[in-house]
Amino acid sequence: MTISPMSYLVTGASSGIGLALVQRLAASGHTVLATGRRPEAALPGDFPDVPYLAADLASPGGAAAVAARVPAGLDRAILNAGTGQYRPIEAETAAEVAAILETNLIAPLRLAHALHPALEASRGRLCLVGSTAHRGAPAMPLYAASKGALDGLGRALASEWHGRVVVRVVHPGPTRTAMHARAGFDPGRLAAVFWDPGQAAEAVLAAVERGGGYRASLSLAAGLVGRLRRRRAAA
Amino acid sequence: VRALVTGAASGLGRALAIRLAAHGARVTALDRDAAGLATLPAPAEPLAADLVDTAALEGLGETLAARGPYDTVIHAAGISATGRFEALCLDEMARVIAVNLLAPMALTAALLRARALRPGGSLVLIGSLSHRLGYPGAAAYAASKDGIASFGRSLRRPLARAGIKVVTVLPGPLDTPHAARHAPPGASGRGRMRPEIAADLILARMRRGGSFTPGLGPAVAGAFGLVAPGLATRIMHRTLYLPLVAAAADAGSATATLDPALPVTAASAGQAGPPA
Repeated sequence: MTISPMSYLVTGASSGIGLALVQRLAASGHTVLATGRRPEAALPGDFPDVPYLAADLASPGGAAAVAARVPAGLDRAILNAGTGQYRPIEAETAAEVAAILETNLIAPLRLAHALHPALEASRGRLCLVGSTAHRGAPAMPLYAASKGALDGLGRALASEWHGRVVVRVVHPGPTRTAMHARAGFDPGRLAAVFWDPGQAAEAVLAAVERGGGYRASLSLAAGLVGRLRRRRAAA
Repeated sequence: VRALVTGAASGLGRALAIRLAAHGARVTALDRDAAGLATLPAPAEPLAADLVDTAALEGLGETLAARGPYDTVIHAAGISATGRFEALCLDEMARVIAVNLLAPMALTAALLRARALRPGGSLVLIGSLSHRLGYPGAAAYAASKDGIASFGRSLRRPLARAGIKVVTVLPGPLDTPHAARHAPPGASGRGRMRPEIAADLILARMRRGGSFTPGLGPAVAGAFGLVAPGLATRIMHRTLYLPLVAAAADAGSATATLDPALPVTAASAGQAGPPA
């Protein structure tokens, strides 16, 4: 697929799907502003040569700092930063509930608000990265709720901004990222059927560009089909 | 029989608290509006607290747990902020998320940790018909209610093991102060369900768990939203969003309806939704 170079913002870019996104975008010649919570010095060795802004999106100043750095005509904003814990609900404190909502819901809401003028100016697209957990996940109810809420935010924005800014909520299925280890979950042999971050990133980028409804779910089945196709293409 | 109802000073929460008390329950009635709580008929035990105050939630959860254990817990407190997303104030939208989503989740966690919900009891979450239809013009509200629906689906199995039913109510428009504040200007209010009727339907249904929409008309609208979600949201755009935008333009300002700085925060229950 050849597309003319565009300007992208990618949040949560220091690992997982976000890292895979900026690697692919940089390799395709797009202009990328990447943000993450880690300091620049702690970025992984395979982080591409693109501008990186260390910002804590869970703080009000973080979103403003990112918005101040994006180009006036931003083509694509991919709000991918997210966090979650595998914990039963009774193990959660109010502070933890607030922290997860802050990162997974309030930060994208603030960024969508701040980026709206830049996206509208370029007739751009906003992508919110959710999770198939939005359908309900007994092992991580807070995470599921935050992603369900993100879906509702995207649905409302897609309708409000119709004809001005395309809004898409992409829900990846389970992906082999460090989030599982951080969240206290060892997928074991299950990991074999998880998406790998590169594959998920390609699916996210394709979902942003397609037409149709606001929601795109990257199911395990869709992942397996994609993997088979790529294997055939490689053979 | 003990019950806890949040948002109990007005709207749906009030109707639920009154009905539960009439059925003989000892009701802990929570709201930010102490004066409203004071007008509840007797056996309710009022507790004035503001759910917007996230820092106080942990302590509030402990206070509520100490008044339990409960057979029925109903999270009916809810607020909204309506208007164009880009014209709405961020703090106001964060407050909507805090009251409608953060508080019920944090309080539920505290109650479960303290085993303050009895086996055989019900946890009732108040979502919105907007979960089925989308709600342009109330993006933060729609987000909070979709979040609650995901929360309810996630808890169903873990709580079933403890013998607790989880029910998510997705009400359509109710005849409450909340709905009147957030409906498009000039809306007739016809077709809004009386909160007392919704309360009876919820109490009759809650022992079964699952999600449901009280009333035939709203339930049919919800089913339509499941079958044709895109079309349902387009209809919401035309019937709710465009009138809101036009009214804001007429008023010569881009600002829109926020829950007024009346008693500044959480708790008038009742759901906005599509015009029936």
